[in-house]
Amino acid sequence: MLQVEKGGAKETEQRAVLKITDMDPKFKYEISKIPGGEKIMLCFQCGTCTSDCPVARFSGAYRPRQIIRMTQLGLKKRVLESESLWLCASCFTCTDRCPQDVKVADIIRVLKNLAVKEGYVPPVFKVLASSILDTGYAYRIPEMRIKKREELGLPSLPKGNPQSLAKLTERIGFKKLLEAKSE
Amino acid sequence: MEANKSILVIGGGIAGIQASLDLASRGMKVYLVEKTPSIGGRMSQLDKTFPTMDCSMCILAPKMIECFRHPNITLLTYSEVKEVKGSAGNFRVKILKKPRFVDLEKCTGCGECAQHCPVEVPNEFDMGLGVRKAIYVPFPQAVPLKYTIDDENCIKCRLCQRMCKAGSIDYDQQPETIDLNVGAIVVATGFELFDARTRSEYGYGKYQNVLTSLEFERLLSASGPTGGHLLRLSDGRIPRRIAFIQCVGSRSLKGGVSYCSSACCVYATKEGILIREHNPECEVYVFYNDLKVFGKGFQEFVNRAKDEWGVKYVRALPGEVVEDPKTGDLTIWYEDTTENVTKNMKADIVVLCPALVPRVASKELAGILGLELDEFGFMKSKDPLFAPVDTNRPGIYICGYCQGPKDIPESVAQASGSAARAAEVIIVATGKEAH
Ligand SMILES: Cc1cc2nc3c(=O)[nH]c(=O)nc-3n(C[C@H](O)[C@H](O)[C@H](O)COP(=O)(O)OP(=O)(O)OC[C@H]3O[C@@H](n4cnc5c(N)ncnc54)[C@H](O)[C@@H]3O)c2cc1C
Ligand code: SF4
Ligand code: SF4
Ligand code: SF4
Ligand code: SF4
Repeated sequence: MLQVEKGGAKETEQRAVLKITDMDPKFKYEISKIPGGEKIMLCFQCGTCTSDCPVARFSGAYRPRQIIRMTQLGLKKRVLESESLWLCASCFTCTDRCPQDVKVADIIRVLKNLAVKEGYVPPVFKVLASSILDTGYAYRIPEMRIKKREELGLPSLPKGNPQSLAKLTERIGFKKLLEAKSE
Repeated sequence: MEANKSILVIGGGIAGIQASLDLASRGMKVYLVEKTPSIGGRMSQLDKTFPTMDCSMCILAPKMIECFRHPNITLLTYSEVKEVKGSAGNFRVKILKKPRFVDLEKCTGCGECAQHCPVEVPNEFDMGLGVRKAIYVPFPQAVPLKYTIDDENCIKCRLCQRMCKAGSIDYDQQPETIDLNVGAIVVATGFELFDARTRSEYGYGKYQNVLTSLEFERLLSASGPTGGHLLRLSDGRIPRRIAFIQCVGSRSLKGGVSYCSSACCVYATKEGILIREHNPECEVYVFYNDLKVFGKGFQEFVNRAKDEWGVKYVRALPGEVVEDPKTGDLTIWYEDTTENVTKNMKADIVVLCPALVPRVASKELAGILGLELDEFGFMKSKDPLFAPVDTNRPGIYICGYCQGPKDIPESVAQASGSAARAAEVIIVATGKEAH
């Protein structure tokens, strides 16, 4: 079996044995039908995207070319549960430079969406999401900071509006996704 | 009918030269039209040629001179085809002979004029790396070895006229129209380079030490701007590491061409070996996506480059080249796809291998000839399998790079093929083999 260590450096170990039973030959067609994923099959593994990716230059765990390859090979589970998917900063450098016109950043977005549907959401994103639901802010502003502002005579921060947010996230199904898949 | 025994060949590169020689030796009358002041084409710009590593000019020059001397060949250099009417067996052609402002009969090729000409402009033959005068021969082995005044840059100081002992300068020369009657036409207009500036991430045109392969070929050549000394253009330093980037604009579905230019993997290997020959201390890296070396003896050639010459190959298409403005040194960012690791490497010179594309002007020529072009602008074959040198117009044949990507041996073979097809038209029209 394929040994996968979630999000860790092991992700980049490419010498792992692939079993044909781990591959879903239909996965690439599935992706190519979703807007943004159309050109997945055109990737010829040149490595331009990885060499240009600002995240890949700092993190050995993140390799856009590898994500595209795993998707082409149909390693669905491995791709979707990979935490490295979530490291993409959506800067679109890869898309800009890809000689084959593969929309790499879009494909990664498509994969992230699929991952969420399948229930793979990294804990940190869940924390962020629930913070938005609770306070209206992605970032919980510490009490200390609010006090400091008062001391300095700065105007108080606008209040978040979790009620209307809750309505919105309910409508678009975001809330359900999060709740259903919470472990 | 005498007119039907003649054939027009358009383009004086290796393909056009070979087609002309084949036809002439079969007793056909050939008009070889070349746009620039000399025949020779791209091959004359090359230093050595793969896979034999012959000196390019040494094997080309005798063929060029034979074209000049052959009683059956009329060279029409600095000329262009303006109109073609009629059909196979009887084409009526109008050719524009541009004024050279030098009398071809009188000019002895001594070069006295150019020595005194005060105007210097970038030399096309050296891809702009060197300079020439406003009165010039493109290169020392030019055929014909006659000077030409470049009207655009000449300041009409008349120094050349005073210096020329043969009295060959004639500022009053006018464009001339030549009418020809030919039985068949062979087109061999070759290729040009994809504009590497459009791949701005590699910095061509911005960084002085990023060159195209053809510029680099001139830099290697003994007849080039540095006299064959392999130096860096920015500071004249001897390079210690040179990197090639393959497929710049080739095999690309975005802002490039989707086909493989087919010569670059092998010529990069050739240039790599030449670097090691020049200076064994200088490292050579070839960054490739796939090494397409499919011709006879080519894989062996690459193996030798690796094993005997120490040329190193890295499977990666680099993402960008960054210059250190203080030193002119370059850093190449790439993912070594065999290791899955993002790396960077310093190099003194980066050589880009741009896609080889049909000449822009060949579109106009195709219009004049009534020829169809393919999606890339190459002259379209009547049938890619069984009639590769035939076109949609009977009596007009194509060969060399203008028909599609190929190297010199293939260009020569195809030239002979198109010459044979053109000769058939003449034989049918005259009812017998010409003698
Ligand atoms: C850097 C580099 C290195 C290479 N090294 C090698 C090598 O080592 N070995 C090898 O086998 N191949 C090599 N090649 C490939 C080789 O250059 C080509 O295969 C070959 O030159 C094609 O010859 P051609 O006659 O078809 O075209 P060209 O050489 O381009 O000749 C075309 C001629 O037609 C003329 N012309 C164009 N338009 C017109 C017109 N409208 N009217 C009249 N004349 C016109 C041009 O001025 C030119 O003289 C190399 C290519 C490059 C870029
Ligand atoms: S740059 Fe494009 S073709 Fe190259 S590896 Fe990345 S996605 Fe594939
Ligand atoms: S969009 Fe994502 S994968 Fe692409 S270069 Fe930016 S961070 Fe890297
Ligand atoms: S007349 Fe023109 S070509 Fe002659 S020397 Fe003067 S500038 Fe040069
Ligand atoms: S010959 Fe090599 S470098 Fe040139 S286009 Fe083909 S694969 Fe790319």
